[in-house]
Amino acid sequence: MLNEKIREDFPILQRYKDLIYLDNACTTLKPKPVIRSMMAYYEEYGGCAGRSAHMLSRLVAEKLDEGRARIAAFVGARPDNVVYTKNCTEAINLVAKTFDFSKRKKVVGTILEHHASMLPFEVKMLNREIEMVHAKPLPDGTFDASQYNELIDRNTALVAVHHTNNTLGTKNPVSEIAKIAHDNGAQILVDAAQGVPHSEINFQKMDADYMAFSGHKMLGPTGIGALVAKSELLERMPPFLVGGDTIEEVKLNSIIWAKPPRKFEAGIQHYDGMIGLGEAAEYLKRLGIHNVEKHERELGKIALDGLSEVKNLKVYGPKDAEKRTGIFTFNVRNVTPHQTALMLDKMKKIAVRAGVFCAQPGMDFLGACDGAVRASFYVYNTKSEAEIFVQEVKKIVELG
Amino acid sequence: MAIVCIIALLAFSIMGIFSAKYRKYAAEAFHCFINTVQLRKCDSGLDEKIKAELVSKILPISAPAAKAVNRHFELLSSLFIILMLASSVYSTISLYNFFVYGNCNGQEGGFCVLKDLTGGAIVGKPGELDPPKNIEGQTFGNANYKLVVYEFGCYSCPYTAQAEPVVQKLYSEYGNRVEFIFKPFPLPDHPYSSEASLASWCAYEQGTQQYMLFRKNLFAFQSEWRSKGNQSIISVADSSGLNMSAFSSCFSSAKYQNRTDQFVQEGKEIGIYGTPTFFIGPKRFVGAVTYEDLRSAIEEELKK
Repeated sequence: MLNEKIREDFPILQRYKDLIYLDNACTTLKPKPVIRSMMAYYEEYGGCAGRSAHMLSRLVAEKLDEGRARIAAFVGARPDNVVYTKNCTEAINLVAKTFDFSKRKKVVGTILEHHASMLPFEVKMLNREIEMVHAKPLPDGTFDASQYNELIDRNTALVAVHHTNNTLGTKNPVSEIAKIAHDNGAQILVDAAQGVPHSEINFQKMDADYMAFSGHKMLGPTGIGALVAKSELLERMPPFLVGGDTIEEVKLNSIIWAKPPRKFEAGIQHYDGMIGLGEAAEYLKRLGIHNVEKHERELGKIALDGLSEVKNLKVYGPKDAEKRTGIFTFNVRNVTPHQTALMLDKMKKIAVRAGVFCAQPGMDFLGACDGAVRASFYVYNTKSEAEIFVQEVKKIVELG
Repeated sequence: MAIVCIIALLAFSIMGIFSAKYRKYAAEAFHCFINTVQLRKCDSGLDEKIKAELVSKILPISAPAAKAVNRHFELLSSLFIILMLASSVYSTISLYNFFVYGNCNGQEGGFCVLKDLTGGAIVGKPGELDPPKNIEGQTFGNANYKLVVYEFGCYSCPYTAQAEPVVQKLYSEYGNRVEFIFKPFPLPDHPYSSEASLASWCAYEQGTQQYMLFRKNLFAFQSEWRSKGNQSIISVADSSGLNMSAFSSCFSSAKYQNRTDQFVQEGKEIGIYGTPTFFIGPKRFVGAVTYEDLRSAIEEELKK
């Protein structure tokens, strides 16, 4: 388990001493180093990056380069493979809007995708621009390569799947899926919003073509995310948004686009967010992403062991803690998900999420049409918090 | 759901008068109610919020009770609204009676919470009050009376004390035309009520002026002697300039016990159910009376 002293790094946990924050799959709390790094931009060097020759401009450019290098190192990519976006959703939209579907039109997704990685393609499907098929999981909610083998073929243009599921905390075998996709001449886009914050990810080893993630789910700021993509693909892709900083040269009748990632980052950027995200990656690196994953799994196991066999309680996903991360989704019989969440908040200030988690088709498929309750653990959660969570859920189950 | 919306709308609207935070809930309940009436889904989750709040409060006290509320929340909501509607109807009728007849029960009279705030010190069942049986009592004012104002009061009753300034004001204004007869009616619920009654008789036997000063001080220091007892009553007597030798002898002998009992008996027989109770002509006033109430009744009688 990680040392509980790290809780002192999180101002919100110091302010609300009795808060049990288990809504980390939605967004995480921010540690002081991240907050300070963002404040430093405004207090110490708040200029435009690279556009001007003065000291502040140079300082910002250095900090951004440093931040991009940190992010790239954290996910096993090169800095110029990292394109900043406002979040994971925008990164996926960037791919969906610029991908060349002229020769192949088939997109393979899963029924359990987050709306962020489903809707950009569903909109195209409804406009008859592409065809779309969805892989369905095994009965325990996990996927293996076999489901993708059946769906990915020579007509497939793109496979768009999650790395870690935001409802069940299960992991997709992305390297195997990438191989199947590439063997069929298709490309793969990985939604790693729930992967990068919790697991070691090496973009190059994974051999994905595109990978998207958000900053705020990994202790970083809101309003910043990234698309990581192979260099040759970024070279070929047209810019998504255009404007200042995206060009090498512009005439009234011609444009020469800048090299990636610049050609995708139009206008003045979210500098403090970029710097904060780099700091968040550094913070997680210091903790050790393996330790983070182990910590969450142990907490998830406490919830799973304590609640999986409880009568009148439905736990979604595999019963084997090794097959999942620190996400624990459940429903109590005769108590709605929102009521359960409200009661946990009232009874012990336990913050959880209730609803369909922006994955409505997936929740329908799992039989939770009215939603469910999701508790998600992270680095600052403790064993005792997990135990209190189990104990309070058991009390609510008595109402069922 | 509609039931929950209606209850929430009414409750939060009233609470919203006093606190802004409830206005948001009232608006939510209103939105929910409108949606329900239009057969649309109420998506605010207000019912879940209320239910969660309620069940969370009950659960630590009794799991079975919380379970019952959780399961039968809609039914309980329906019952509450029926009770609320019924109580609203009764309240409206009572208010109408109060404004038209001056009593919640209309022409029949009887106990009315809007007037008869006697601190729960009700001796008998509220009902018709017969007139006093005699003119005995602690009298002050014009003995050659044209009009008598009777008061059944308990020296230890906070409501009698509250009415005392009204009595004093009326005495100063009408003392030359009206006789005031105070009939001590010690209520068992109030501390040292009998002792205070006995003491008042001991003061009364020393003359009207001494009695009036003692009476004034007795009410003024009521909260003190209610907690400290006899010694404190004696101190009031001393500070009121009474002949303490005579007073002490009288008080310790309890020689007015029989007289006290007679007034209690009289009060019970005529139906006194709370103090103070005033009789002015045919009119009766019980509980927290106002100067205006009594003054207009006196004026009315004097004109006859």
